[in-house]
Amino acid sequence: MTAIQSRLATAWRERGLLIRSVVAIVVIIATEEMIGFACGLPAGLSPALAGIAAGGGMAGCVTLFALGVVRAKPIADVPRSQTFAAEANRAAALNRAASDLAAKQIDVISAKALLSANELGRYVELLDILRGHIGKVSAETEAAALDILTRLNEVDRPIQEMIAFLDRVDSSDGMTDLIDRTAAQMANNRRLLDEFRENCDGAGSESQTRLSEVHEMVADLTRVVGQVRVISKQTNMLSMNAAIEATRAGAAGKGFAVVASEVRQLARDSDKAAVDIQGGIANLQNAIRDTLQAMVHRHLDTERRALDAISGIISELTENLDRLLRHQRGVLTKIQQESQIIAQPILALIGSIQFQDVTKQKLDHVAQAMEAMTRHFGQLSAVLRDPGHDHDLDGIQAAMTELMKSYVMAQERDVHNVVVGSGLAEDKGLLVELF
Amino acid sequence: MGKSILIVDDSVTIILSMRGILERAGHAVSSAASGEEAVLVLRKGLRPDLIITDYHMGALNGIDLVREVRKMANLRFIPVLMVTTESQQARRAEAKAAGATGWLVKPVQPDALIQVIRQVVPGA
Repeated sequence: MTAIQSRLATAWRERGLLIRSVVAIVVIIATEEMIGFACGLPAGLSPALAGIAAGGGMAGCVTLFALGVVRAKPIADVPRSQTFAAEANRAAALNRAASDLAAKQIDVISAKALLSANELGRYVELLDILRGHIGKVSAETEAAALDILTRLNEVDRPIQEMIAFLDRVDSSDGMTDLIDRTAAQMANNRRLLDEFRENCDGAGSESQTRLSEVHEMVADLTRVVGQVRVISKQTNMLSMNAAIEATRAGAAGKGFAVVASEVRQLARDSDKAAVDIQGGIANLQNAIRDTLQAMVHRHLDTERRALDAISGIISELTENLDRLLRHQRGVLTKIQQESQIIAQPILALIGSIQFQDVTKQKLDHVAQAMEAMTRHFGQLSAVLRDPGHDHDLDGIQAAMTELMKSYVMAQERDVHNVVVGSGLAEDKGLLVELF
Repeated sequence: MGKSILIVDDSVTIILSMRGILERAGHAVSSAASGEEAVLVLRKGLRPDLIITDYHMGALNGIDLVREVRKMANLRFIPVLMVTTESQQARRAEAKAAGATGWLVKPVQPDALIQVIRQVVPGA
């Protein structure tokens, strides 16, 4: 008996107690003739044994015992010929009754078989519906996975661009370089200020030099004036001598005395002019010195104050810029770290979405198994509709074997083996193996 | 340093997932939806630094693709990784005999994939 036939027999047994009763009755009729009287067994015992032998259930046994009780009758009180005739009549009556009952039961069984065939046909329909659902789920899961992947990539792209930008900013030619260049620029500014101060101090020295030159020029002029005064004094002396000589000459020297007097007056005037000039030069010298010194001091003070102000501003600017750059760098570093933290789970999600392909393959295998079941139910339905005809009926074991072959994942094979109770869990091997 | 990688898989989900992982690592990715399409683009002159292929892909499966690749003189030594749900040891042995470089079971963790690529592709 094949597995299918065995399952069919089981199904038939499970169809109901009535069927078993019919089978038992048929068996009674057969055993009645063969062993009942020949062995001289009590009339109720042989059908009961037959019923039990036929594998009937409780209802079958009850029926058999009922029939046995009907037939049970003490045989010692009746002549043997009469007993035979009576038993024959009773047997014939029972035979007819059993035949009628069997015919009715066969009709019932046929009706039930047809009903079962129709039900199995609906199972085919149901399996097709379920396969349709599985296909839909698979397609929807794939569409959702693609949508998720697309959105993840949309989120991931700007994050990656930002991380790359921050990497560039944080690299040696980025923020560090900017800070270094700023510091160098500030140092250069300070050097320029120092040079400017030195230049200012140089300007003061130059003013002093110019003032000394003025002093020298004034000294030269004073010497010239002194010479003029010496000449004036000598001229005065000459004029006095000329006047003495003119007096001594008498009348002849009168004209010369006038000239001598005029010359002496000229000498006095010249000396007085020289003294005036000398005083003027001294005043001019003082005025120039005072003016120049005032100008230089005023200029230097103004420039120093301006330079101090500029220097202060530059120092403050440098500190602020330095603080700004450091703060900016801290912010960028923080953004960089946070971006990396966000990027990691996104990458993990992009990898995890591969589950959809794994799930799709598993669903495909379930759908294939349901297709095999559909085929098998169709065959069973055909057998029930027309039991007298030879049908191609695949064993369910063959379908299960095919299903096992279709698996690609160890997990699928493990689930299958656990259910059918065969074999140990499969060695799954390494998830990553380099040859 | 970014490398050129060809992904061969009949699942769009897998191609997009792998592309996301590999492009983030700086690699240039091209793809083919079947073994036949992969053979076609390789014969047309595509010279990837690495091929990542599925096993179950219809008529020309991943191991068949490895055999085809090994027949091409200029691709004889490029690494080919099998990335598949298939877990039978016999299939792995078959892939190894065909000339595959490694075997990874789906789903593949991004870090593991990048690490393997660094191991099998010089300079990656």
